[in-house]
Amino acid sequence: MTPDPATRRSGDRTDAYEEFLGLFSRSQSRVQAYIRSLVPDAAHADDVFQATSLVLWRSFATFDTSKDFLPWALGVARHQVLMFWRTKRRDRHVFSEALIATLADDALGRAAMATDRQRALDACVEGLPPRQRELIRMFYGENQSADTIAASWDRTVHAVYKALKVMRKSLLECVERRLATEGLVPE
Amino acid sequence: MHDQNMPNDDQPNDDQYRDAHERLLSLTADFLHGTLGPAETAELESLLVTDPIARQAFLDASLLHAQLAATPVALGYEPIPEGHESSPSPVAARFQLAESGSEPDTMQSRRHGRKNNAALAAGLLLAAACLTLILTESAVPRRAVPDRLAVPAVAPTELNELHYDNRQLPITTVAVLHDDGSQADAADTPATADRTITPSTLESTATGMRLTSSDGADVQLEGSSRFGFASGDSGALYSGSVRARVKDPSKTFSVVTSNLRVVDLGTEFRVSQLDAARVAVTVLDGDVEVQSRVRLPVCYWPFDDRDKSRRGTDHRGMDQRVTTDAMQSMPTALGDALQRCDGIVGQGAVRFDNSAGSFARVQGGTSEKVGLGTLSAAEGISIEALIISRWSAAFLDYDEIYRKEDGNCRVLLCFQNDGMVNARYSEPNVAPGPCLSFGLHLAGRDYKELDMPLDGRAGRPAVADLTDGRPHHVVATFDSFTGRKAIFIDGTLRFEHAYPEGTLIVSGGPEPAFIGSMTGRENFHGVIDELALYDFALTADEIAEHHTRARRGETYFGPRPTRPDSARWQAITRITEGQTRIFNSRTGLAAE
Repeated sequence: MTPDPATRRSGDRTDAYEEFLGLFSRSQSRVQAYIRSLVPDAAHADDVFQATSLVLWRSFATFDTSKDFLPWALGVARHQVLMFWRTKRRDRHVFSEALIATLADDALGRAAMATDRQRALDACVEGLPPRQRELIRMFYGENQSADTIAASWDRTVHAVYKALKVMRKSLLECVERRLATEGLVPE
Repeated sequence: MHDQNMPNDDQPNDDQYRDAHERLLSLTADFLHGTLGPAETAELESLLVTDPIARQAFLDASLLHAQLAATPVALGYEPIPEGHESSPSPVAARFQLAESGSEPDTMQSRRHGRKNNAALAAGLLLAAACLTLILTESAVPRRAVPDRLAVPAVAPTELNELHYDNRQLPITTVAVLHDDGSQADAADTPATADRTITPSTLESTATGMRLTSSDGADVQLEGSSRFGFASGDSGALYSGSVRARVKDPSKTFSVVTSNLRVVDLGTEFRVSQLDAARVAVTVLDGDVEVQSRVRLPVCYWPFDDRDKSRRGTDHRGMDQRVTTDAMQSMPTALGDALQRCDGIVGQGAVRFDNSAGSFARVQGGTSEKVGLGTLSAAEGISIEALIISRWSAAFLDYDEIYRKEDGNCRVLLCFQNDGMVNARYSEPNVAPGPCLSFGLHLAGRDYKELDMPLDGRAGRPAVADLTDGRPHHVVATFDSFTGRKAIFIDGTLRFEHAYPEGTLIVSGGPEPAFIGSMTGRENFHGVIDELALYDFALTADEIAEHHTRARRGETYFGPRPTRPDSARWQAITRITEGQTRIFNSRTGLAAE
């Protein structure tokens, strides 16, 4: 039976916890990005991330610390993502299981680029006009809904969605340009 | 979209490729917004299944969407418009554990804006509110659902193991905002028609704002004003001036200003916030009644009916012991493992053994929608209890004191130690470790927890201080009129965070409240007594007084309140047509 780190003796448990925390904190943002790119709903992604975190902690005793933590964590996250979508299979608007599995595999291969893409995105956001930065703060930072922003800005919800769509498209192009300049993606 | 298997003579030209790429990005954006219909879902799936380049573009767009939440702009690490950003404020208080007699320490300023991994992670998971209906929702565009995602109000069946039910439950509609051009700015997009409003704080410009409450009152914000529309029959004035007219004689509308309430009696009236302490009430037609707040709890469980413990029936038809709260006579089922014991104050208390059967489940105070019900609070809240804690403080061990889990509009007060797993909820950011957590959903800000580190530093108690086998007085408060969210231990302020004034709580709903548990999990270990819930923020002086009384073995309030029909407000005076009176909004006394 797999030993549960939580059931170890007090001193061992503290050591394991600190070791886990150190490894986990270094990989956490990429695991979260991986999950969010496959589970776009924020609340659902929270759930999947929490479940992943718990499985990682409970399985930590089986992890070979001489190996890289991130691929192991991403493997657990992949499994949790697939489990999540499996529970949604009854909904007619869910992608097929085969497609979700393919996307999950494709996303694994792209996780290594997450840090570079985040850095490029940060720089691109810096160059946005104040109104678009305000939109990012409200929509992504404060998690305000498009309805709330529409009311606040006296716009239609459609206009807010469109503004988000246009902004993300220009940011995507900006990120690609920056990465290409750095030789990180083919032009 | 490009198909690698396509013969060369059928290869799409550049224009076709661009069009296909645009279409893919458009579908992906709708997917991320949750506005993709079934036909478009099938179209997108078709593109993704057949084309690896399309999948790459899809994942890049999705990743960018996820990573936007982790940018410095989203995380608030850059200057933003005044009045929008919360700021942690140092608490100049002294740490003095009443029971242990520890030497006081001076509190230190909190560091703000740490760019640690926890914060980045927190930001990442705060990403995009647009992603809601997506695959699991119908094709109904989200704009049809005001502010909130409509998810069936059924009991959670797929809670994750860390027990956060993140559903967004249906929320009550409080008003219709009329767009008559009065608040239009230099928009490059046409203004919208009337819009429904859920509980939120509205800020009008110099031209004002006009609304109709869901109960039919005409409400006008005059000039630059800030008004918290908390329900269909009332709202809170934070600044400026509001004018209300009630057409239906069977309805009322009231305006709350801190400790004062103005209730129409079939009339038209105006309330103006003159300064931080004074309000002017003018009656334009008919009469109004001015009332002051009854500063007693909404619900209060003294657990003193120890010898009168009786049998009752819970929601599953099972026999269980029952106690009642002293204010509303609300029945509260006691779990099988919950034991009656000697009171910290009074005759009785309840002892929790950390097992699944040790809980107290409040029966009542719920409502069909978030924003309603006896156990909802909007303008302020206090949770007060006497506890003897035996919390282990182990990683992922949670001990609940009080929790009402209405999706992400939950209210909780509990001990936590979950490292960075739930760091995204913390506001302000704190270092991982054991903490006492006070969670609320704040309008426009989502669900946030004030996680007071139990580290024995800067005036905060350590875990050992609160698990020393002695009783401790614990109070958590939030006041929309000051924006302050705070935790008091043994009569003294220990930790707080400041939000913008006028930030409303969004709470209440269909889920039952639990004392010492979260729907039968995360059970408390120790004794809870004298648990009280208020729909306003107790002041520091009141809390100190309650603590002093509790140490003397008395109830918080002196004589035990036994007011099953207790009103939340008491009349001060009546004002008639043509009169203007000025009041102190905190004391309720005339201030002319």
